[in-house]
Amino acid sequence: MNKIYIWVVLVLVGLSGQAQMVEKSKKGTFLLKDATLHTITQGIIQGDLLVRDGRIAEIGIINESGASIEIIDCSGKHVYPGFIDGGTTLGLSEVGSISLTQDYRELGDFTPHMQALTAVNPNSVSIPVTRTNGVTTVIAKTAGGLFPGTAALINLHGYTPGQMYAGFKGVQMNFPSSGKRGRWDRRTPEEIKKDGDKAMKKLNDIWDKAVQYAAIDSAANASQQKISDYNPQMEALLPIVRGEAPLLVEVNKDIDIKNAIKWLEKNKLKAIFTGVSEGFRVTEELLKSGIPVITGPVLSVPGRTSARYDVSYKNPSIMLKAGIKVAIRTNETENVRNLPFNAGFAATYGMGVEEALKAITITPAEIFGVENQLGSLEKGKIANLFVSDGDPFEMKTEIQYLFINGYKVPIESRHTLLYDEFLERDPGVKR
Amino acid sequence: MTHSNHLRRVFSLLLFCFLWVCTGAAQNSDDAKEVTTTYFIKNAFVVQKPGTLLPNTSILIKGGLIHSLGPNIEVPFDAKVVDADSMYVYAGFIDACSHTGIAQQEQKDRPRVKDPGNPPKHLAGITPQNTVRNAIGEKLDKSMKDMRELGFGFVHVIPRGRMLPGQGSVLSTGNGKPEQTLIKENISQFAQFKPARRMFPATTIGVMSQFRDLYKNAEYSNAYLKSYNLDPKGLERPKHSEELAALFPVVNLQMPIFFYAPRVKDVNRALILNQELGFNLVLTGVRQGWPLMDEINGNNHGVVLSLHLPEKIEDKSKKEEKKEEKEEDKKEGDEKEESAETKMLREKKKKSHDEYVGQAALFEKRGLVFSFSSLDTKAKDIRSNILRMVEGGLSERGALAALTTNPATLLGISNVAGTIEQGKIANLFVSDKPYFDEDAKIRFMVNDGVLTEIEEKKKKKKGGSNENVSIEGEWKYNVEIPGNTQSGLIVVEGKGDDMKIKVNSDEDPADFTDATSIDFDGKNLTFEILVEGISYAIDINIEGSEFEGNVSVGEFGSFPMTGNLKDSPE
Amino acid sequence: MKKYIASLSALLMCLSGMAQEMGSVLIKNGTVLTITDGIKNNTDVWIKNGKIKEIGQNLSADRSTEIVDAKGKFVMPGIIDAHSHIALETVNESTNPITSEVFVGDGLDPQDVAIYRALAGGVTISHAMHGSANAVGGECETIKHRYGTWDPDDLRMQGAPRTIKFALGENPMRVHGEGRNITPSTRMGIEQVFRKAFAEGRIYKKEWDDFNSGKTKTPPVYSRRMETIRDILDGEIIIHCHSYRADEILMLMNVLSDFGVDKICFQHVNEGFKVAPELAEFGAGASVFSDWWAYKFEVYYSTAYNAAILARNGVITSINSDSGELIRHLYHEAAKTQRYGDLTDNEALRLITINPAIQLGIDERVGSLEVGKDGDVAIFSGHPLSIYSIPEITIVDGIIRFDIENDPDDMRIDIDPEEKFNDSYIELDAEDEDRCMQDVFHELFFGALGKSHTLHKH
Repeated sequence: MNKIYIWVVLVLVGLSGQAQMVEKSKKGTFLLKDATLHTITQGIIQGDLLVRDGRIAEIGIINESGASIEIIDCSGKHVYPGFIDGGTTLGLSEVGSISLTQDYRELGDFTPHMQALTAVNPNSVSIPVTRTNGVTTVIAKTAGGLFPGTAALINLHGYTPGQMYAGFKGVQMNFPSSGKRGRWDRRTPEEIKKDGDKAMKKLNDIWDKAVQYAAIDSAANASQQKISDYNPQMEALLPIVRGEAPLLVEVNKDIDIKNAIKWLEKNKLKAIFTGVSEGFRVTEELLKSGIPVITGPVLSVPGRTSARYDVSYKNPSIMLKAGIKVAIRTNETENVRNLPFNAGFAATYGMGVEEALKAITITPAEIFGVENQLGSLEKGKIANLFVSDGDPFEMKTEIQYLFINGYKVPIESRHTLLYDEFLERDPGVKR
Repeated sequence: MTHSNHLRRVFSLLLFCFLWVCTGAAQNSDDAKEVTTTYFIKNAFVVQKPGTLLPNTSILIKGGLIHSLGPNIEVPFDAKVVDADSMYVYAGFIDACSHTGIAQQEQKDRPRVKDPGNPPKHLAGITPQNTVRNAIGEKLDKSMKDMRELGFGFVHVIPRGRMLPGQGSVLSTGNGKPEQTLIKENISQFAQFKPARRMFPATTIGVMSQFRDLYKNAEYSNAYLKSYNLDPKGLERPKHSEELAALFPVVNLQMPIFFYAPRVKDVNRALILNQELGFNLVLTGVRQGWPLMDEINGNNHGVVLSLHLPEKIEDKSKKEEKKEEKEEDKKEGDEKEESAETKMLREKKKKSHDEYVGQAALFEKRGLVFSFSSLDTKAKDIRSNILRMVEGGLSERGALAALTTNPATLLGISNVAGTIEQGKIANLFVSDKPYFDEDAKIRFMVNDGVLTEIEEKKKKKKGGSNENVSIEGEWKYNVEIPGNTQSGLIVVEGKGDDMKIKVNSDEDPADFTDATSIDFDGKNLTFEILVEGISYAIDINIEGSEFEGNVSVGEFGSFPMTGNLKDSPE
Repeated sequence: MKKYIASLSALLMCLSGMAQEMGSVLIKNGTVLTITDGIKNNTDVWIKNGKIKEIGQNLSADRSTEIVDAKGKFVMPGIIDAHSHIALETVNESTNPITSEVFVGDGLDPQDVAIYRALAGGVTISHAMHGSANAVGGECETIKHRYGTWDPDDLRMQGAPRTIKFALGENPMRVHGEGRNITPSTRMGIEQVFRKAFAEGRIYKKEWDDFNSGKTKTPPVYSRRMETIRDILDGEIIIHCHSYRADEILMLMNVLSDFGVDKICFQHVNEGFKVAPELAEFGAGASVFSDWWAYKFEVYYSTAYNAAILARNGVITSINSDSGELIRHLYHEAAKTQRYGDLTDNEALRLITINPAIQLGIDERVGSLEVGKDGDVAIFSGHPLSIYSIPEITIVDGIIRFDIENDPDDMRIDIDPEEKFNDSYIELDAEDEDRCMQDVFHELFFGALGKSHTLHKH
């Protein structure tokens, strides 16, 4: 596939200290000619698309030319906006079993001030592996206790977290669960309930204090004074308490979802639900709450042994059909590249291709308030997009060109480089 | 992983090895001695054996034996006469397999071995040479008394342990010294799919494999020993192994293996081993054997069904419904779908429950001969479970056979037990109504020819006003944590609002921790202790001198906790 | 000739087989993906008494035979998973670097709902494997997904060759070396575990041969462990070896060469692509993940193009699940080789049908749609390699075991008579799994192995 890059002298990172030549991303003006443009928001258009200054400069029939414009013939090819994964730990973990390479979980139960963006490794090997499947933007999130930290939306290109930042941050909360924590959880139902009650008490206690802190902060601002205490946790919660920013609430089990809705209503908070694997059981409550949902992985086993085998596949479509705003995530690290396939399964099991595409493009963009920048092919938006030879949900399809922030990013990752080197190894068996 | 280490550490702190203070072991010497051991049970309905009811029959008991029975027996001058008019006499029941009489083993420090792949045999749970005589020691556990009062006259007792705990013996439930109650010694090997703790065999599949190894080597050793004994010339001297030697009677088909097989998977595994190795198999403690009934039937294996049944379903579903209502705070009309699902789940659960309860009836219908075992069954549930099985279709006659004649045959004691016949051991009981009447009560027990009147238990008041019940004393507890059992003492002082509780642990018997949040309603006891900043919530139900429940440890989850009163307060 | 052997072995199976349930069904007018004999449009597949009796057009069966209308649908052989741990109560006896004495078939759990979920993904056979804690693990069992039975024996695929799990690299090093200070703690140590086992196996064999022939009088100690090693040396058991790095793969092939053992399929084998020519030359199989990597250091230098490189270098390659989740969509996992390596449709389908059958030594009976083979069939709404296709019917031995139209939602068999419905939900979120109890006792089994923060056991 990547034989056009055979000029790349490939040397394995880590196995050799030699310098390698890598094709770099390229900024410039690119004219995608004669493409099938899947705009998401304006239907499917046959035409051209111009990338300039990092943005989509024009869509339609474009007859610009010049030495500075790189023309890419896209006849028979398809252009899609870059896919957005609403929940990953990409960039925050390098090797799963080695804790020192993992940066998504800080100690403590109450750490909303932990910033995922700080720890994103722009050079994580997983990033090129991900984007070459058309995923250009992801939420990098923290994990752990009740308030594990603050997630950030990042584009999968750039040399610093700052360059990658895509305009949304959100404080995360893990809503206390009344489910078992796994197959090995030996707590009795009574104990699970007790633990849940305890966690709720803790949550309410934190929230009372957060509300109080916000009141003091307001008073301090009004009288042009400053709170003398250093309290970064409460500081982080201020915009949430004031309803200025949504809280990312991880919740999965039916009863927990209902309780979370009540809790959020009681405290008059804006929220985004994540996980929501049993959302299909509580669609009415979800719809009424108006809370958008980022669900997934779609490719997961049902949470109950008594549940029908395909409930995880169908969950997004059931929620969508009930009128709920649904985006899809992988909840993955190194295999965020499976986002289009998660969406593909949702499409197959009731959602339909068009809606499934939205669930990984414009819908998450809207949920994160970046719909003016990302999520569709529209003039003026950031040039996050890719060119494929077919339907990107189909495994047979190849992603052929990729643009992030207007950079033309090579379709190359450790995985493709190893392929290029080893497909026809020389020497083979015989020296 | 730090959690596990942490947990281990915390538990070690909680657990203790304490000194067994033998305060109440001595028998009261000032009790008046029995005046006579000749009894005359007058004019009763005698259920001589399943299906045979003798009306207006008297029984003369003498010298520990049934001397004679019939309508017209003379009353000897020295007999104590029991007027049993309109009462029913049954042969003492036979518990075909249990640990009755053997105290829960004390947990010492968790044994650590350098090489968990090659642990010493006894730590790996391989002690086929162990006997009930050794296991009981000086004193029978009080569980023997419980069984006696439930109408049981004999128990096939097996040692506690892991995969091969030892040999079983039949005991009379009489009140004598342990060795006097032994009726027939070392008649069986007990085996179970119970792995060792963090050493080989640490899993079921390890147990299966280890079992095969032992069996095969016992066969080879046995054969070699035979030829050596015939003519040792030129043969290496046999290497003696206690464990293998104990299995010789098994491989010679002189001793059956009672294989503990509660679930269908255990039954299957026992059958596999049996097919491969060919020993005499008695499937034991079977709770869920109906799916493999044909296989069991086809091979003429001994069958001992469990007296354990799942919780009764009616009260439970009501309770659950209430809980669900509370939790879901139902108000909207969308409960329809949910409740359809719940209803379906409830029906499935009920069906499953009924299958467990109906197992004995099904076996009977299929013509399988079976006995009963009280393994894993709480004493208080035994009778009600038998009645539930009868309600589930088991004939009374079949139930009675499974409690008397069938186990007598299985255990090879029908010449002395199982029916009320002249010359048999006088283990029997007198019930005020037919045993299978819901409100029947056992009035008299005769064990080894000694008659005891059973006092009617005081009915506990219902309605939660029982917090003044005293549970004072030292309670020994065991906590099952994965791969380990920990034990210690819960000391209760005072009652009602003045109740105080302290707890210690094996590791440090002197270090007691005081409990807080104590709550006791006459049955359910809850309290909390705090050790090194970790809170342990204990929630137990006390039944007589035993309790069970669990301890939950913060986020680590909960662990089953059982125990019993060490010594009743005087 | 091949057909003759197939029907002969089928006959032998019938004779030796237990009274396992067989069925008859006639699948009409489907697009039949035979795997070994091309694609046949508008064709019928007739299964009689559990075996494929005829493949052709306008077939008619006896009146009692169930008819499945497959017009517009795709009919393929039942999918085979060469690496899974479903239907098992116990996975790892991890107390010793060698546990060839144990057999996971002793711990089967036919009531595991995961079997049904696999059927709902078209999978009819899986290789229920011992875990990877030990250099020499236990024997594995090839099972047929005859879900609905209580009897573990019904799952066993009678006549399938014996297989055993070996493991290289981090897992045995961590459990025994790091965990207990017992060799192996390096890949050097692992090599010596094998060499010792095989050398002792030879001695064991000789001792028993001498005893059985009367040369010696004292019986040697009987050892299941050594019996199994001896049988490996005798070529009676196929080795399935958990492996990742190229060096350790070469190491094991060298050891096996030295002891004259040649039946081996490497499992996971993430760096197999680096030594694909050597694997091909040895005749070793490779059973790989479609795209798993980076869950530990030894899989950091991986590529999703592994399967394609191996296949194109002539290695018999399969895609496996090692997971109760992935096993539900192996057809999708196989299709990923078209994105990662441009395999053709048939090449991709072979990865989950005939190739795993070869690796398990059951290719004469299953893995393709041929007359005389077992009636194991998966019917899809569209081409199985398209993401838009849905598995609709799965047939094992001519019996419909999964039917999307007619099956109830709740397919559990063994229902806890004391269950609490409202509390049956299990959070599968990774971070929660990590906190839970599993590490206390699970650590020793498979918690610490591989991707410790999920349920993956590889």
